[in-house]
Amino acid sequence: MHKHLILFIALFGCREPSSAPRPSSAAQPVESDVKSVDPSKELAPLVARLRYESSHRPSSAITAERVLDALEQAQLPVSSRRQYLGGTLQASYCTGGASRDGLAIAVCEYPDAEAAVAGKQLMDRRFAAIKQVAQRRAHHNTVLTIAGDTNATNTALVERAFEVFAAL
Amino acid sequence: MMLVRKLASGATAFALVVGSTTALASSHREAPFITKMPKVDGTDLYVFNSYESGREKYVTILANYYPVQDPAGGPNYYFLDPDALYEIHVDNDGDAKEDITFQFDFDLMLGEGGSGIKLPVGPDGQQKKVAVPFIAVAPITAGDQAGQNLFETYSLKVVRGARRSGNGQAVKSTSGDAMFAKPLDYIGQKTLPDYEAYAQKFMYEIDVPGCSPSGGEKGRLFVGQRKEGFAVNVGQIFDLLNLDPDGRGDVANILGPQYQGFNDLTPKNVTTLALEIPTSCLTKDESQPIIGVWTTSSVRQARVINPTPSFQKPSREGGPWAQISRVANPLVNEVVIGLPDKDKFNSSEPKDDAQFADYVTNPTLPEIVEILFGGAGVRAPNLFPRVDLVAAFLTGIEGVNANGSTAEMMRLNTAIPATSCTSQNPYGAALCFDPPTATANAMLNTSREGCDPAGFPNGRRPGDDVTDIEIRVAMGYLLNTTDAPSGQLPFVDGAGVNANAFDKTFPYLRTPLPGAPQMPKPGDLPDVTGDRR
Repeated sequence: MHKHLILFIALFGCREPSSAPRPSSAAQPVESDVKSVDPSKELAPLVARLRYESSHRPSSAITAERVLDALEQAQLPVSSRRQYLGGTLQASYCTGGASRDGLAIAVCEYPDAEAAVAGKQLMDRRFAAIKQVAQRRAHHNTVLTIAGDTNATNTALVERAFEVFAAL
Repeated sequence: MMLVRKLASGATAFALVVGSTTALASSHREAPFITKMPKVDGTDLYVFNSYESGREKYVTILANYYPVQDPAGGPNYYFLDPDALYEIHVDNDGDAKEDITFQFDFDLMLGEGGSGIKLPVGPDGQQKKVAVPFIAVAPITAGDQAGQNLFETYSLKVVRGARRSGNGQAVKSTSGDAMFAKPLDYIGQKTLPDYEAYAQKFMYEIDVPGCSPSGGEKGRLFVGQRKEGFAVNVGQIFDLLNLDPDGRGDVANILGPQYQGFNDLTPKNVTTLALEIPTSCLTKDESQPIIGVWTTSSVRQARVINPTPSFQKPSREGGPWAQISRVANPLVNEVVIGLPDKDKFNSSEPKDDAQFADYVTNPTLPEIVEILFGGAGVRAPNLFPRVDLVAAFLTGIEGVNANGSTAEMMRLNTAIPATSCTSQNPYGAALCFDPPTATANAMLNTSREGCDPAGFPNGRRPGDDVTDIEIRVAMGYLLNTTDAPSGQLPFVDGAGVNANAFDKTFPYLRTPLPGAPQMPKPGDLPDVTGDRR
């Protein structure tokens, strides 16, 4: 019986399928794979997806930095700036932060104006729960979102911010 | 004499004894080390004032172990570790140290008196009696267990004071037995044609030593397999919070409805250690109605693999007990404690929780949520340290279940009456707060509509949607809207649950899913079955 068992193991025990790729040094991930990953690869690490989006931004007339700088020049500085994952909103790249008054301000870049409008609609639809306190505008290839308390002070700030945005 | 696969663990000195408690310590499937030992992996703890009719003077404690059991997991299924200690600890004076410990100690025995059921095989005159490979060889019912080939039994002690040096006394059934039996897992409908009737046979009425309630109340005890009750979209949560990443319909919408059918644990079973104890046996006195509860498992520090194993001795265990699993509030070690400290957390005690404070005061989960959804306007709270989370996880909520200690325990105010099964709100005590303003945090208001103060985080009932509650609290549900701009958003994980999914009698968790003739697949069963017994 032991002979049979040994034969079975020899035949089937640790056999690799003939098509199984053999490990080689060439198969090891290269540095660029780790640093920057196509967002369609959904299982990629978050940091890699952020890096990819950061290095694959659309050539925009209105960049996120330009929007945030314009807001700052209009006395609406955005602090605690951080990159957000654009893929969750079908955007190429997103960034944002908070105003002095606690408003959340986010700018997302899209490949073109049509995609920006679609992205805004997606945000409005999928994040309907924050529609009451979030306002969004699409302008060229960019979407500006401002979210926060809808008190009188904030309402004035939001209006001014969108005026600045529309003037870009 | 019965051959019991229980080893003389403490009495024998072994050459290989690890002296340091850190060397082999840790636990739970969310922590790296416990994944090696699923039998002692604590998954969930439920602690609540019993809501079964007529059981108002009792507290129910359900400690679940051995996660994500596929019902068809034969031939051995899911017996517990006979070389481990499973414990439920109760702090009743607010010092974050156990005052009462319920200590479960399991044994495992083969059928036919320990030798295992054998079948005669071969022609007449040349037959050999050969041991069968299965744990049951004939249909088993409440009245007939002759075909059972594996028996699990256990003793239960109550230890008053420190768990290892306190005074331990055996819990006995009201008929005087100190040894209890655990039913076979639900192998299938052919082997166990009426599983619930069979399992009921393993429900015990017990006397708790050192406790004599004035009304003569007796406790209840059950250990056995149940249908997994926890609802969580675990796959998508750990897949980078893969909730509505790009508008697809195959993942949950983090701001969608409570019930989206994404409960990954729907087709699974679990093993439950269930106790129903007279409330007066758990509290110190009427002036201190708040108890803190947590469950742990421990194994001996040394395990030597037997190179020539037998059923009775596959390994030898020795040395002091080392705690390797710890569970109180849900998801704490999964999504709060950082990866480098998960094993340490599982080996730790509540009294030492200051070492994990940074994970609560400066949590990472809200930051990840903001990075994922910040482009749409979602913001993490900007208040540090997060005193609101300290209250939710470490101190209890003042006026509800704070008990003076700062430690991670499941706190229950036993003086708050249970809510009936039909009136429970799955968002529990989390709805007992008036919404915050721009400058004022959420204020406790127990008369608020929808408020159910008998639910999580005042203890936890099976029907409490703790995942949704915890995501919302982490995002600043209790904070003012300046500190938490997204704190009032109705975050969900897409795996809803409520009291309808459970029985309304002890042990509340439902009959396990059978291994045969069919095994449900994800999506076959709704989150909430709707029918109620």
